[in-house]
Amino acid sequence: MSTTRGTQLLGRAFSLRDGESGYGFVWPLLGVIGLVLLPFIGLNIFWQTQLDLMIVYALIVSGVNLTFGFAGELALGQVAIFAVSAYLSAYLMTHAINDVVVALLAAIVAAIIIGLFTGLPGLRIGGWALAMTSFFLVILIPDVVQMIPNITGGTQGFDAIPLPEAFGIDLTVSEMSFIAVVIFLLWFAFFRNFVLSRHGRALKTLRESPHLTSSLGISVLRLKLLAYVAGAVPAGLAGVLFAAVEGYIGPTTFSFTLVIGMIAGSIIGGADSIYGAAIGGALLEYINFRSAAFAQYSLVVYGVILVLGGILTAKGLAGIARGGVRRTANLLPSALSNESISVEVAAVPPSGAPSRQLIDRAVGDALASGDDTTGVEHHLEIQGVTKEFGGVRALNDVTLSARSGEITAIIGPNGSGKTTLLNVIAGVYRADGGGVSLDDERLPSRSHRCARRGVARTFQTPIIPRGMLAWEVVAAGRYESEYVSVLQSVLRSPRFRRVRRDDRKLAIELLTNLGLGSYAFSPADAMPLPHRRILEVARAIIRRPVVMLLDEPAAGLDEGDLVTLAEVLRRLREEGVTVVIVEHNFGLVVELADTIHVLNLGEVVASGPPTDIQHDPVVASIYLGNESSGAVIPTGEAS
Amino acid sequence: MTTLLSGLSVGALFALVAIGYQVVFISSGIFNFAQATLVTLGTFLAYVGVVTLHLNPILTILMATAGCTIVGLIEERVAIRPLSGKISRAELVTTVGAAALIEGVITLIWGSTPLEVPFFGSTSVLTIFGGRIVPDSLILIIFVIVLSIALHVWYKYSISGLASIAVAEDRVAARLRGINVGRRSIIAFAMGGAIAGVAGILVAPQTYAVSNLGDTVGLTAFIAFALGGSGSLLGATIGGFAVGIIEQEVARYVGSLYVNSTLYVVLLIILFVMPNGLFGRSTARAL
Repeated sequence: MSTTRGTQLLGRAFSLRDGESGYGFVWPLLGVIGLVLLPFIGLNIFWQTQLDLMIVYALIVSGVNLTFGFAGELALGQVAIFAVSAYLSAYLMTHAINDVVVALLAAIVAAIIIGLFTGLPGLRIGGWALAMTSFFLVILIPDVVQMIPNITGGTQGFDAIPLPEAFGIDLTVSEMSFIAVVIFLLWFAFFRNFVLSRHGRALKTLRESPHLTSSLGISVLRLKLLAYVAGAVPAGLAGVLFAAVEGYIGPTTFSFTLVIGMIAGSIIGGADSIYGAAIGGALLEYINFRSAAFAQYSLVVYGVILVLGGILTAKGLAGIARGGVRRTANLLPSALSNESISVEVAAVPPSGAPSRQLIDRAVGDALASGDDTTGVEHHLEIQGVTKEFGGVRALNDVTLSARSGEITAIIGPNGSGKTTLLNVIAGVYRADGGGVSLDDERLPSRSHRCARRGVARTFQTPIIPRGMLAWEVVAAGRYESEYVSVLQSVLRSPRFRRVRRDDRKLAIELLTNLGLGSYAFSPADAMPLPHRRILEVARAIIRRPVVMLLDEPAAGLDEGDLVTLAEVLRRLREEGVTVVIVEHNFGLVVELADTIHVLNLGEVVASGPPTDIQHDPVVASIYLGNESSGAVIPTGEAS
Repeated sequence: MTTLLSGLSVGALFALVAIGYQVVFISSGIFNFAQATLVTLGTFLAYVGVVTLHLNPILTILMATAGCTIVGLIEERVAIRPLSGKISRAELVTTVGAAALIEGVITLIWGSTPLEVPFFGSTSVLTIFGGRIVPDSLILIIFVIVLSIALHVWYKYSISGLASIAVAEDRVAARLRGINVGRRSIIAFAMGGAIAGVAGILVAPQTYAVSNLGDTVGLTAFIAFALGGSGSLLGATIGGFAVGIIEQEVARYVGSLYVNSTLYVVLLIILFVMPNGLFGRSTARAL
């Protein structure tokens, strides 16, 4: 038993695969040990400086990776922060305390403060506006430098920054290199642990869809700011090292070309990779160094990298290189490879329609895994909700209610306002008139606050983030429950380990019981549509919702999947969840729902139990045309 | 008055680039970061025409227009079309890459020293409303105003223009109505290139042909774009002139060192107070 566990751990440590199941640390660690030894095994000063500068660029690129590759925002404030920190430490080293440790601490503080100040306005906007405002920061650098010439040295800059001390001891070039390597090691350990935690999962979710992220109860702005500020820190560290190693900084050091180079470095190493940043940084320094001879080519080279890299990323081919590495890694003896990990799930049953008992257990376990709230009655009231888009009134004075322990269905033709209504309930849209309350308390019209009140949802088109395994997608739903701080995640505290084990266990059990156990370790975005729908349902269930909103969950499902879905919904009802379902499959709705509300052109035209709705002349005329009053709507042969 | 006029003439350049942003944005939903770099290319082609080849102004304009149009088309083919209409973050990267590539090639061919491009007409300073302005600036201002009105009318009344707006509103719906969305994008990039090319000969006497012209101009023109609101050509023009006037007034009364930081603050205010700009429309319905 212990040997299996041992080989598993070994396999994980050596793995080069990404996702939480892998990304071991052994190979990078060996590389770093090599780096640490380099300054002492007779590397000459020239190459030591090259190594230091590679580390400088690797640090900045890793910051770009965090905001661009993981959080999905092209925010390039890192270069501005790099500049500020370089100037700050140049000033400290020349005029105040020439100690690298003091400079590093000051740089971290400065990076966090500037990160907050420049990040907050830009991140609210996002997209192009954010990219442009952060570019703008870079062209401000020379101006600001000349505004305060007695601190920055004006256009002259600092041209004789002394080698710093550490704790009062003068450093040699080799020792400075050693410090650079140590910082590199510490930051990349932090970066790896941060990305391979719930926070990294949340960032991948954010990159895919802010709507999805906030529907999981995560504040999008806060998460973006976290990524941006975390990405500012390595830029700050890089500034100190740069000033100390290069010995000269001036306003032209921080150019537009440098910004372009940062993005190129991020792309070429893989924007959403961890160790790729080191490759990108090394390449940047190589191009910079060569540019003594090829100065004029650097922009062309960066341009080509950006165009090709951008296209490959969009086509999903950027992982080719990593795929190659992975295959090489898999050639290792199988005991050392990473496949043994699924052993943790005892006896994964074959995929296929799971039994009723399994589903009962899935939903029951997932919902029961916290404080016991069953037995508490809930009621959701939608009162006089009106919503307009431009001049189009999508919802007009809609009033209806849903109770816990019932399935409430909303049906209606296309464009009748069903999804809009769900979005109003979920806090995505603010109603122009009326409101939604849960247990007589108004639901906030901010999606993540609404989600924290216990509202979970699925989407009409399932939103499954790229680059995540199925179990991770489900586990992403637990970000807000038992919150684990960044510090705890990075230090791998006992609480972090416990929560990580629970996340994994709950997600895999839930998937297994829903019949998707064999997919738990597959890339989620490649799963077939029906499975992605069930995956979304699982992600919502794991949040232990009070209200569950489902937007056309049956669309594209085959017979077997429909049975699973119906069983899950029934079970949710038994557990006392308030289930609201928007659906076109009339047969399924009639079979499941306790109450049906019919929407047409934004108004509720009929409400009642399924049998009444089936015989309602108004409903029949909407669905079948005017002349067919008195007809019964055929339920088809669904389920 | 002279400051106001020089504000208008600098503003005309920003307006020109902002109009280019709009034209591409309307028909393809893409923000073309390389638009200002295309104007840079236009000034160098003007240099080639006027200084190197001693061509007459008409031939120079034709050559510059053809050159920039072709580069615009190549950009669309190489950096945009392979993304196959998936508007994601990828075009953030590829258009920045295109800008870097064009600027890099310009630097390779012509170096990074500013090249003087003499104006083909009179260089005697004119006096209008008590302010002084050179004729090329005046022509540039008039050109930009006429261009924006002409494009506005074209978008509003011609079938081709309406089709472009339909694409801007909803790509899928436009495609279902039989509009060739891909061709709209090609036309948009060609137009963006052409606008940059035509203007090169009017811009160059003031700015000189200098390889990194596009960096600052592109960012400043974005403020004009944001101020006018996405999708509005007249907004981009008014925004461009407004930004130009702010720039010149600040440079005159506060100091040129404070121009960019003032503009940065202006940009932040715009994005916060009126994220849709003066004439832009809000977009809802994201799910």
